Amino acid sequence: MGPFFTASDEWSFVLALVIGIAFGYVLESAGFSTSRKLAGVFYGYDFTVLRVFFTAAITAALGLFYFDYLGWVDFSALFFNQYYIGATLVGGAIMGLGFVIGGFCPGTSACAAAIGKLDAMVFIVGVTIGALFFDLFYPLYSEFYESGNMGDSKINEVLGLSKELFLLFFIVFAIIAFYVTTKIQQKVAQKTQKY
Amino acid sequence: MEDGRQFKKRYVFVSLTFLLLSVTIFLLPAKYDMTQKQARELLIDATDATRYISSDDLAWILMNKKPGYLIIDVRIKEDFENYTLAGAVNIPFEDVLKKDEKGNFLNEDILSNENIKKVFISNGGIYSSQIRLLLRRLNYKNIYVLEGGLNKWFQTIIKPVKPEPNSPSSELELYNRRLAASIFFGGTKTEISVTPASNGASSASSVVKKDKPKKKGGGGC
Repeated sequence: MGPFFTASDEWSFVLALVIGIAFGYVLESAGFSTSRKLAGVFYGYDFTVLRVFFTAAITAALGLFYFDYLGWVDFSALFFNQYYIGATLVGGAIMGLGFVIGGFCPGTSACAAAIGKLDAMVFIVGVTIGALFFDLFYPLYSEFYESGNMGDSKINEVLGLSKELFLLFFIVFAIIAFYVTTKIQQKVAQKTQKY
Repeated sequence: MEDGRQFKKRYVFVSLTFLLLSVTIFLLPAKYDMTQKQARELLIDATDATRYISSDDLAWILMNKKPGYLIIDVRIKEDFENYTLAGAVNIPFEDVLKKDEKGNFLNEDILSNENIKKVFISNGGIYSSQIRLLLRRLNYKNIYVLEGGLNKWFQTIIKPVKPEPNSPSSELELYNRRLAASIFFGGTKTEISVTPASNGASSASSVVKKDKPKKKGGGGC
């Protein structure tokens, strides 16, 4: 089974559209189209985003594992992005800052703009300008951008763990994160109630 | 408060489900090896006409010293030492898929080198074809078999049969080419010792000119 469509298949665009609509619908239903949700992770009053993304990662990991086991998906045929350690760290920090300041991630901004939120539209304009500037001045930091390439290395391989064991640790870690964030959320809620 | 408790219950349920699913992975029986070819695929591959290299083609490759080919003789060592093709290496049938203590194939370097075409030869074509099928199942690439094995090599290249005078010109041309190849290969190795028969240790030193390999005691058909 699979792949249903290859990347060069024209049907992949149709599939992308269908998946995109479903994704947008779920984002909006989960309340991600409000900038408060994303900023809430930073201020500690709402950890929905963290929970949702952790849950999504675990679901996808477990799903992939079982699909691979049943022969529905060939794990070895999957594409993995190249990992550039320096660029990832800096890029991650910039993106995180953007999340806190803007209150959106690129995906949720599109979702919020679709339901008519002005701040999201401004955010998208900002993202576009940022991307243009990045492209314009690319030669300045191209060397750094391409440095520290670790190939398509996977975290379990770097740590010397088996896929299965890492997944178990990851799930345990996620559950701890769920618990801790819930406690933080409760504490912050109590504090704000006082005033 | 009621809301908070329900909220917690939901989280406990999801967490336990995740944990259960991840622990179950450890209890599953070993996964079916997806790196091996499936039966249907293998069947198509087994009858693929391009699996063969004819003796004429191989003779041309050897005469012109074409790079990118490795001839692997899968007969037993004695047979190999008695006669083989120029540049051939000997990996007896049983040793082709032999593994070391770590479970890796001993001949992995040769087998997984996709830049060279591996041409397996045996007396007939059975053993070499079997090896090819086993290797193709394990997804090794560029695996070929000498059509008809060394038996056909002798019949066509070493001792080509002269066609009738009224045969089509293509056949006569082929004969001439084979004759040239015969001189070429005969020149390098005119004497071929025959493997002693199972009972004949005394005949080990007997040397027969270009005898047919049928008498060989080793693998083949």
